[in-house]
Amino acid sequence: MQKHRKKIAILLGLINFLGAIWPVTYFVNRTQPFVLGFPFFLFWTTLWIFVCFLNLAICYFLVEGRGGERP
Amino acid sequence: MTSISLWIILGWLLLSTVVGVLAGVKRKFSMEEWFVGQRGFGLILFYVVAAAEIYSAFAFLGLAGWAYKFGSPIYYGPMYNVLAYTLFFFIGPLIWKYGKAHGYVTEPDFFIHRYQSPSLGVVVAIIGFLFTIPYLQLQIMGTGMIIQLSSGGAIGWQAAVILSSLASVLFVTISGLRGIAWTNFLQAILMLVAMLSVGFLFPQKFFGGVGEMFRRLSEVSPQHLILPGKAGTMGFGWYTSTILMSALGFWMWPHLFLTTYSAKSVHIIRRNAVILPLFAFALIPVIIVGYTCFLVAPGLKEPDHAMLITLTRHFPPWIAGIVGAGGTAAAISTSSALTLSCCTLFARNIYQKGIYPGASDDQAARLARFLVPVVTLLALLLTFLRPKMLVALLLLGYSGISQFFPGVFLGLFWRRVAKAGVYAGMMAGIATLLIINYGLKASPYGIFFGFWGLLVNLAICLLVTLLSNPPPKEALDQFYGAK
Repeated sequence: MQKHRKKIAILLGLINFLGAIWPVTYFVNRTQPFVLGFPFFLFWTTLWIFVCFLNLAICYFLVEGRGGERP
Repeated sequence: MTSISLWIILGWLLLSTVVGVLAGVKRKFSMEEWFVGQRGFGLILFYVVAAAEIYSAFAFLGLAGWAYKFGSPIYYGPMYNVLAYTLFFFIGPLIWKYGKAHGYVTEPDFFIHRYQSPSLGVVVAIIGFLFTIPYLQLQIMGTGMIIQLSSGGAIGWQAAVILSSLASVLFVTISGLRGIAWTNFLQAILMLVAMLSVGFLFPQKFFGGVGEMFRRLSEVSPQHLILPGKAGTMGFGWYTSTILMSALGFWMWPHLFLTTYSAKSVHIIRRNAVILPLFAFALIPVIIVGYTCFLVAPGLKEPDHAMLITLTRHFPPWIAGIVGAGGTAAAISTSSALTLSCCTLFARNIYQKGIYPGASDDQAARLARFLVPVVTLLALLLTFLRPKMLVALLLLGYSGISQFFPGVFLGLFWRRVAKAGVYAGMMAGIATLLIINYGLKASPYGIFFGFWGLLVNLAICLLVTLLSNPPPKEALDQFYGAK
């Protein structure tokens, strides 16, 4: 169970990287549509920072939460 | 009029010095205390040290300047920060664990023990020292510019840097990392306030809102909003390679390694890796300010000064004062940590582990403390004598520090990786940087040159490791056996 959780955490970590680099940037590199007043590429960047934060929070609960490594 | 802003900045400087000095004045002086705060920092203290060390003068001047000059390629900044924290979530706890178990106080200590080689430690310390100095110089320069511009020229940058260096010498000498931590507590808050408020104020004042500002920008200069940016040179290859190299190399900075050791437990490290990305949001408003300045005051010679010039021209002096103090805070919190890091590298790894192995921990710590004014003076002299030389060196600095990545990362996870591989990889990586930077001028395929260095480094490290003998089993068991 422990090993399994760690693997999911590492996968989430890799997803963080993938959203920030090519080829994903190729598809989000555009001005239109504007979202919440932001041009699309900036919106994506801001959104991705938030997604990374959420993924890391999930990682934290996977590693240290119930069933994981207890403090 | 402008003297109001100057007084705000000077008052802030005084306050941080007092707090920094008080933090350590009653503590008993020792290596563990002065270098890494007795490894006792909790969640909040660790958060503010890390955040304030990470966000430097560049987060204020450079970010807005880049947005002004190049546009969207600067999104690499907040993006790689967040990825560096992602990596930190996985390697930070291990760096901390081995550091605590084996009593490391600097990054080279890790190399010495894992690879059983004091000479590798000396080499890492020298490389770390050489690449940290330009970064330190840039912070000092940044502090000077911020104070001069936001006080509307009421004080020159030379006087400003001498004052601010004096302040940081005082609290670093007396309190070490703990002093930096407590002043950073103040600095982090002010930085955050300043960054968020300018991001709101600028577009609001000139365009009535962020949406309207971006609508105008997309008509006037749509290249600003997508890759490859206004200059047309920073495409997907550049963006991806710069982000990857910076994210992987980020935690290799000796001062951040040192800071990692200051945490109380692995849980503090993991929690911080989760909440540090929230600070990266504060960079977005600074980028927005850069865009706004481009529309309001196009054609400035020094884009890095755009934000502060626009600020003093169009806003009341007390706002300029608060933002100026915020920028000063960002620069000093980073420069004090860099100074500390240089002193520890020299005293612990070049002196105690290299030149004079008989020295006790206490002697090394005393030497490090004595070096604080010396290193600061050195950086000041370079700033006055060669102010322009730095930018080129800084680009090299980030790439140079990243060359520690294979040694640290592979060393944490892979028993097989050997000293010869790490040595050869590091040298090959640095040689690649120098050749591309000074020999070829343009990096192949538009890929960031530091990334080429890192690739060559990894390849050579793997190759030489597989060709050389595996490291002795007992040493590895002792290293990895840490609880």
